[in-house]
Amino acid sequence: MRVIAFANQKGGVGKTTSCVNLSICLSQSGRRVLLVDMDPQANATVYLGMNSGERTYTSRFLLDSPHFDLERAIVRTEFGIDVIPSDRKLLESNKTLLPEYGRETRLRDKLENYAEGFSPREYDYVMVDCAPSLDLVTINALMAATDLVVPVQPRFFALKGLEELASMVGELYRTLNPRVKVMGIIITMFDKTAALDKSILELLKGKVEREFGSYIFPSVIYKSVLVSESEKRLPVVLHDPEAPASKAYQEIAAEIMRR
Amino acid sequence: MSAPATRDERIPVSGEENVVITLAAEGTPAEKAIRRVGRFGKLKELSLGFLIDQVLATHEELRARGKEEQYAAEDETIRQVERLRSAGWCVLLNDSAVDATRLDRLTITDFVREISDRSAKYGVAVRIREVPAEETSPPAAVAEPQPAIEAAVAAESAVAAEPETTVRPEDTVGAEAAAPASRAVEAPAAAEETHQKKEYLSKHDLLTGEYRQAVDELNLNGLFVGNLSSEERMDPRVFPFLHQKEVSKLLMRANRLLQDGSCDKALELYGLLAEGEPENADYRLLQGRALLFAGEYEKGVAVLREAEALGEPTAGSIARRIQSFKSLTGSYPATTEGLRNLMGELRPRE
Repeated sequence: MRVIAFANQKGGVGKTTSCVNLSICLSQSGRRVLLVDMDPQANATVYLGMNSGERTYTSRFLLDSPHFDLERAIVRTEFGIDVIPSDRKLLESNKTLLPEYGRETRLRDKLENYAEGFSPREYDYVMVDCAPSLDLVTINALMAATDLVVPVQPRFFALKGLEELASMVGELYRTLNPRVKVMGIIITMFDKTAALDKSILELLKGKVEREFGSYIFPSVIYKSVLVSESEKRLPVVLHDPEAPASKAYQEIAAEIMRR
Repeated sequence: MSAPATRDERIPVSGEENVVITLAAEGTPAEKAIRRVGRFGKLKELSLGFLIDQVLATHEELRARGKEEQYAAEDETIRQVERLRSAGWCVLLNDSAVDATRLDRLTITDFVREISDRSAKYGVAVRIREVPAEETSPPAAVAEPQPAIEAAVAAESAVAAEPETTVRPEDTVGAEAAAPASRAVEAPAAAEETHQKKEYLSKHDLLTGEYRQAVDELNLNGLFVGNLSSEERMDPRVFPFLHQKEVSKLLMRANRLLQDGSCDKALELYGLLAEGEPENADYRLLQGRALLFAGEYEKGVAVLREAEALGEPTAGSIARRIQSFKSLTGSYPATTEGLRNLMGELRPRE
């Protein structure tokens, strides 16, 4: 079971959109996928057709209650993936976890117990949608993850956010020694008509490849009205599978399965 | 350094030129004049070759199409370059490759060779004007880097600036360079092939230049610790982010390698540890010891001395013993027995 966290401290870079659409693409490729919404904004939950706050059991219970059974929070969706929804109360977990022992690894423990125990359904991929912050909730997601996917918009401030994320993840390695490895960077909201986007993509790609290797996914998600509009309807890969963004997500999903 | 070729040998001269490239030294009135008429963004990141190609290709494109006005209207950049050209101006090459304050004969010759080759490629005649560095101008090494060359121009501004850029070939650096400086040159016509490539200064290039430094300076090391530390060869950049458990693993691996006689690999890891924590005397001692096992006594002693300076007395005593062996016998290999005993003492234990 691979646990893939979608994280970036910068908000609005396409974490949720990427997480949801890639989950569906993986599911369409025959993989069993569980999406854990670890963002108190609960956008992934809403994206998948649920109303935030309508569920009794949410991802908050995974963190707050040491003996809570993960299975109880799983919701089957019509999109072929299972979801553990979120709600605004997840924010409170940052406070409730604070005095707790093993507070950083609650989610990891839950997922491991679930995988090792008698599971009615085994998952190939657990996709974790993180909040744009590095609080205890996100640390739990990163500690649980085996892989990290970083969606980045090719803009200067987004790159500064990436640098900040790198610094904090580095600190996490130093203090908590997580097992997570970067799987790749997804370029999102790429505006092919904007010279700046092209320049920054080129520079970032050059830097990452030169210093670390081929960690930028070759397919980029183009800025598209369709993607934005799909947020209130269907995930774009279902709404229009032939759209460039859908194609790109399908290619990235294939790449994820290869990596 | 190869012998400079003269321009006479390389470039046929004609009376007419259709592209002019001006060289001006940083800080000179000529440079200021060119900068004043410019309104491009930063060009300093762009290569000399690119600029030359850009100027030549643009001109060739316009000439070949025979509809300069229409074409120029399509693209602001081309229009600006064209206006530059028609004003008798050109591009200030302030690139480090042509830092005019450091121009010598060879540089100019190389530059001319470059122009010659490229102008032949585009079938465009080129005239090169040089404006020498003035004695009063500050040396480039000391001067603050200029924000860039800003080309492109209103023709009237160019005209206004013209007097400041007097062509004084006799004053150029080096007689050989000076002689052809004001000559018109024309390359062989090869116009047919020139249509294939359209190169000009785009906004993308300008932005790439502008953002390059900022992106290059981003520190993303922390993000990749998990990837880099798993490799056989660890990257020293990740060391500050390593968890103590990982550091211990690293140390144990280095000790095991040394026990197994893989001195080189052990040395690499000890080196990483010492580099990661330069103030750690223990790591220095271990590195020094590994150097001794690798047979690098001089370096080993030096590192042990460093460890001693950092507060590790054992390192100092080992270094002194090694040196005393040497002073007794004259060389390290000759100190076999004593050294062997010492190495036996130093060998890491299970």
